[in-house]
Amino acid sequence: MADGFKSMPMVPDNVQMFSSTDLSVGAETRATPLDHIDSVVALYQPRIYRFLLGTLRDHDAAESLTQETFLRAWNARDTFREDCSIATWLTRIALNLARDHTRTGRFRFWKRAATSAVEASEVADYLPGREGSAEAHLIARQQVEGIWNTVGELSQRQRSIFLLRFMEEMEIPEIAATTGLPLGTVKSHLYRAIAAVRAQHADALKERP
Amino acid sequence: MNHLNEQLIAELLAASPRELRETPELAEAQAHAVTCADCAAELTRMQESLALFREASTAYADAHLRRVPAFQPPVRRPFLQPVYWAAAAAGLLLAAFVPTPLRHPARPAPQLPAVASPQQAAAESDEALLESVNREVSESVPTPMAALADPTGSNSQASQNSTQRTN
Repeated sequence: MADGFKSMPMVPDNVQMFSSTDLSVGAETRATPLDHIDSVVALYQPRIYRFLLGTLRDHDAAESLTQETFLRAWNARDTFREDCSIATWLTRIALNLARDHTRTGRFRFWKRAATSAVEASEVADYLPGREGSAEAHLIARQQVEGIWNTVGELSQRQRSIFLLRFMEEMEIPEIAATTGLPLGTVKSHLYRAIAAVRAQHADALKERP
Repeated sequence: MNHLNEQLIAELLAASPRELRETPELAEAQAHAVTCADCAAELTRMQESLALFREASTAYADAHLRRVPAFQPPVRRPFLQPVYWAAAAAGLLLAAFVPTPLRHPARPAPQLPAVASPQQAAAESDEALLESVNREVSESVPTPMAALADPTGSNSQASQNSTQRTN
């Protein structure tokens, strides 16, 4: 999966500058950027949680898999070859966990009876306050709810790629490195997802008085 | 140039600023969007919606992140290291194969006298009594010339003495 990755920036400078809290045991282990786990968690946990919440749309699952992502990264830190950024590596772990989680029957069951599922209106409540009319705010809410719902109906792969591009603001080559998909495949999925969102957008415009 | 088709709009929305600069086709489409009000409006609407989506979902996730505990790596305990398990296993093996001369012979357990229960003692005395009765009954017919058993015991002895005195 890691073969054929684009040349990615190694460890971000801000990680290396953090104060050392070396939790590794034994001098025989190779020092890795993941040894400064508290700094890595502080920097990347919001991002991983956000991505998992957007992908799974379930608070409990997102929390659980966020913890699991860092646990897996910690346990496998010696295998981190630094051929991609930590963000890419962590997101790849999270993506794989989300995919495995979605495949299980437990997820399908709980998806039907989820009490911690995220509703579009909840997300729209967090729209930053902006100057403007009440009507403009209402339209903005509808836009956010529309995109949230449309993204929820995409396939798992399209949804992940869409979120990586438009929520995490990753560039397409980085998405390809994260997902392990060829560049053309990533673009194809992304364009289809955008087309779905545009179609919903157009429908909403028609319904608007 | 006609209006931007769906594919070009998607490519413009997905492209990074660097890609927009470096890809001639996208640069041309972007130039069209500058002059075409319809295409510009469509692109702007979509860009604004996507930006709102990003802002709202980020704010929502950040607000709920507070309840997610920060990851703490598991602490490795020395006794869980494989070398410690190996040492423990070796110790057990050693203990299992200690040379026999060093072992103390096991002392035989002291034999405690069997304590008869009251029921058992009563049964034994009954059997002894029955046996003596059986023996006496079986000897009820005296053998020839055998001295008669003195059914009265001391009375016969006393009468014999009195006969000798009278003589």
